[in-house]
Amino acid sequence: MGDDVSAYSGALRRRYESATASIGIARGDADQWLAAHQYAVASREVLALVVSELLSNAVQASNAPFDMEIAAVDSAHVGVTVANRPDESSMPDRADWGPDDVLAARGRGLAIVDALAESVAVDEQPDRVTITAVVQVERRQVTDEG
Amino acid sequence: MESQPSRLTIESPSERTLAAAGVVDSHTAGQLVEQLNELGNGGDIVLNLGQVEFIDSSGLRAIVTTHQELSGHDHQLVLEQISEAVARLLEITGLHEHLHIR
Repeated sequence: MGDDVSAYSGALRRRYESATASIGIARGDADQWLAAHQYAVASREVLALVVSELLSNAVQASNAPFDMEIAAVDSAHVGVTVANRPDESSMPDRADWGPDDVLAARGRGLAIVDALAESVAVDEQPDRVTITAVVQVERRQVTDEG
Repeated sequence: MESQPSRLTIESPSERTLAAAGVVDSHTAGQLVEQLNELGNGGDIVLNLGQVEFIDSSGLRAIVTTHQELSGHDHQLVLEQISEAVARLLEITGLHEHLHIR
């Protein structure tokens, strides 16, 4: 589990080492938070993918630790924010999120986030890049056993 | 329960068939690449993904790279019994129309 740096109750805020092993741990932390807050399984699966892609991007971009925050935006949306200090400016232009060729080997991560999220915001500062993806979610129903 | 790093297991039920189970992300995709590469490009490869509970773009990269490599040698990578997680990501990315799935 990552270091808990939560500044307020309700949101999940954690810092992780920049390593591929952190991705599964962070995804698990996020899913536990989502389950505890009664989000539906389908919403948790979508968010797992968004988290995984954003964290893979962060790990590739820098050896520095990264911060992840999961928080309810409103009753129907959850925001995933990942911030890190990139080794160099590595964020492609928004128009270039996604491979030129559908069968290209690389370049799908941010395009997947873009496809799943209702909005994606990038704040690129000289020493810190913050990406926030807001995903539409549903709460778990009584009959939903997940 | 404490969260854990991703885990992937890969078995080879027959000579040119691999069966993956677990998570395929950037922590584990290298295992899949290694196993696929070991089979070489001398014939079709069947990759059973029925027990893959999670996959992201790192897993797709392994699949697409092998698909392209085998296609270049007139062979196929056949994805078999894909799980819901795999099917969803293939559809999101449009790859379901380009890969061999049965």
